[in-house]
Amino acid sequence: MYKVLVAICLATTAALVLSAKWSGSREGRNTFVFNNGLEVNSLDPHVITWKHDIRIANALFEGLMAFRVDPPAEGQRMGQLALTNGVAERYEISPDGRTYTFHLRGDARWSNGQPVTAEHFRWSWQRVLTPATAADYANLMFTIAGAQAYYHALADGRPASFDEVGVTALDERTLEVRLENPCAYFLDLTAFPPFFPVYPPLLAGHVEDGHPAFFNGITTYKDAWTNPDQIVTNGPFLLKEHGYKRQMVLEKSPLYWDRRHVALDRIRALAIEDFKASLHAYESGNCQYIDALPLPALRALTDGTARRKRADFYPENSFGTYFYRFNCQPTAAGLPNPLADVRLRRALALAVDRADIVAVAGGHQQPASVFIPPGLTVQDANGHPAPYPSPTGQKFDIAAARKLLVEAGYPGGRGLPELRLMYNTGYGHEAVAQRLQAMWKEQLGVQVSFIVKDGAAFGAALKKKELKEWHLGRGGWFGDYRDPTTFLDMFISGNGNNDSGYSNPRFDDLMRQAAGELDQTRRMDLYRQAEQLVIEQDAVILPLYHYVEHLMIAPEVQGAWPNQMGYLVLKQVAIQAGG
Amino acid sequence: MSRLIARRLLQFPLVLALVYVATFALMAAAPGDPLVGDRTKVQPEVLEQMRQRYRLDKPWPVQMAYYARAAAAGAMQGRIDLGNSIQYKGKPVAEILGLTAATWPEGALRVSLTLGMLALTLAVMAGVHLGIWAAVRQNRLTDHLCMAVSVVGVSLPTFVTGAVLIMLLALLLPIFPVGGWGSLSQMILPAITLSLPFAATIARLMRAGMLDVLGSDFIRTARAKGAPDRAIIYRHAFKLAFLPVLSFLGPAAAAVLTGSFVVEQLFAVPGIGQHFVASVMHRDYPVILATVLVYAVLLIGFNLLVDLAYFFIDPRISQEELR
Repeated sequence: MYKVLVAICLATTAALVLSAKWSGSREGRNTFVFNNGLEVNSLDPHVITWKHDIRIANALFEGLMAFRVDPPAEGQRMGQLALTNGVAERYEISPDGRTYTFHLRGDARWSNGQPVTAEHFRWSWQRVLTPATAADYANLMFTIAGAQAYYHALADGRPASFDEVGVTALDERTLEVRLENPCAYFLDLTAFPPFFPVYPPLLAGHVEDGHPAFFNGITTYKDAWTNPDQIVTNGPFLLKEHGYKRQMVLEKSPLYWDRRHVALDRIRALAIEDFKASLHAYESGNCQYIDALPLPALRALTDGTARRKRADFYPENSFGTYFYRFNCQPTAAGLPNPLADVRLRRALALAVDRADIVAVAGGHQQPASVFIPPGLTVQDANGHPAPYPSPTGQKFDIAAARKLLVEAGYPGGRGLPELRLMYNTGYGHEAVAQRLQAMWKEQLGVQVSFIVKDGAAFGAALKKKELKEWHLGRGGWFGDYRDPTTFLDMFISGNGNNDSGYSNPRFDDLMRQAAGELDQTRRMDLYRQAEQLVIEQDAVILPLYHYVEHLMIAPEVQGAWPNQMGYLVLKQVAIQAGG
Repeated sequence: MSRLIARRLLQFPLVLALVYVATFALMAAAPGDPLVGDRTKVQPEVLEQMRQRYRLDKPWPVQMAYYARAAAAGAMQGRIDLGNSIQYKGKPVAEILGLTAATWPEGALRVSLTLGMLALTLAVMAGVHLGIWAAVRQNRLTDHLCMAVSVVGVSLPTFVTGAVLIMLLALLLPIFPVGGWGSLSQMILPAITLSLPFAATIARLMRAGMLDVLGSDFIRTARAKGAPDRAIIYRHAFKLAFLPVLSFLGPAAAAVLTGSFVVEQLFAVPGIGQHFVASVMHRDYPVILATVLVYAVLLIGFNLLVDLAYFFIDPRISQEELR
């Protein structure tokens, strides 16, 4: 009977093993294997937001413009991100900076051989601006004239015509875009997935049926159009396989216009979530690129105790900041909010030693006194660079902090109710929160208690508009495009991400002024004043550090240079012969 | 016998329905929002659209009825419709878990079942032999060693044994690949890791069962008649001694087959276990429901199988007793 049982077990196992699909193909020379970290949330470029989604979208699709990473300068480890022409062969910008005319290349093709037309872009952008599509980044398109009005009309169930929106297909290969205001980063946006074209006839075959009346007859599409046997793409690579939470296989597209410059024949994007498992895969040669390391390995590589420096280890200064929000609303947790007083907020900010926080958080981050990470440079219409001049930001000055606390009426923290600090579980947030708690108690006598929530509950509590239960809420923010607005927009009164509930007409005014400013140097200076206002004077947030990512890149891999936006441009990756 | 099967099959949908309602109620009671999650950047208009699309604006009994109706309608047409994931933007849950014919060969459920069956086989083979060996050498060094090993096996968590195995057999001595899934060699280490605690429990149960039976009258009779030790153990004692193991195998099989979050994380195995944890973290309601239902089906199914096996093995157990 035992034998019967074992026989049944073995037979079932064998049957299960045999029912698998065996790829079994041998890896060619020109195959690049990297760990994408997470399973993509979607392959639909219009609804994605995450880095791991964007990476694959950039390989499968192409916008009017595209990103390129230039090699690091001599002695540097970080590459430079630059814009290059994508589907648009060339473009013209009107002198007032409000009208862009894109000329599409004649040899831009979909993977089914059809030409990519201006109308495809117009259709795709209309789809993003349709609320039922639920595109998280639809608001990036509000730079286009009439787009915001169109979106909100549809969201409120009012009729609206897309002809009122400034996107016109002048002919098959010419797309004219009129903007609400001059927008220095508009070309950057056209290289961003929400602005990518999708193939309209394909989606027409996947219309979602039975959606309820509130969609007002607006069409939504079933996700199945992104399956490998269905999807039609226009980028350098084709989707061959999509093993859910396992790997994605991409192959070079024979129809891509710039195929001569695509070196890889095949890409395998793994979806190993666990940092340790990912490192194991790298160290055992099963993968050539990983972008996250477990903390112990990271410490060993960064604290100088490593026996020798590893040439395949790359720190990457990210375009992101770790911070705490102050609740600026008049009440918090049902009581008058002491943090509505700017003096208390500034006192708390002045008492924080960022170097100490970074040591607790792992030791490899850059301490932050401002919100916008350093190193941001925009380009004006003529291609001249205009660097963003960061303000000084928040200082570390205990004496000044104590003085402000006295002014606010809480000498030595007396009379101040306990402040409630909210963070989400995991990722070492707890250690940072405890360090802050200790600093404020020791230096200022301010008592802080914790509200700890898991990811999903945390987001809901943070976003709650009225009656927030927290005084301080943890935050992490990565810029989406290379412009100060990607960080500063969230402080505008009533902005959807203004979770502090902050409102200052002077700030709003500076932001408005800057949006209309054509001279990039002057525009950058206006944003510097705006950041100075929210960080130094009003202390709306408490920036703690700028993120630093860490990559391991196998020596044979070329063209995958780290860069501030964290882009891995698969089109330009190559495997060096003999590697 | 047939009445037993009929009764169990009738209970099946009832138990599933209870599990379904209980899960839905618990999900609705948990704080948090599947749409916001840690996506703190999303615009309110988008949230509103998503909320309507997934009917999260409705009270939970209405949501539940909607899912149940869609599932029933799908079942009538021979489809598995468990709704669409929220986290994975509209991807059908049945595809995510690999329940449909098209997604089965690459799917999470098949991966977990394969790994689980392999681990189960290993656990039964190792556990049974270790247990018998210990029992026949009761209170001797072998016995103590076997039981010491099984205590270690039971008490060491899989993230420790798995990490040790990776260090020894994949990194120091590169015999097996680390992580990933697809080839047979990639299945060995996770299967061993997953099987260890089960093998240890089976060994202990087997030893206890064997000692119990070896002390009984009919064994003494067999010995008196001069039957050889081997025959006594394997022919006469084994059947009865195995019964405790068998009852353990029902729930154990369900547990081992639905995947282990830890083992899957450690070895980067794309199984169903990670969905249990991840879907709860994301409050991805349709996926939570589906994983719980899959687990419930397996658990009920295996318990039924065990009951049936009992019936065949032990003539003392009549149909009456199984009621």
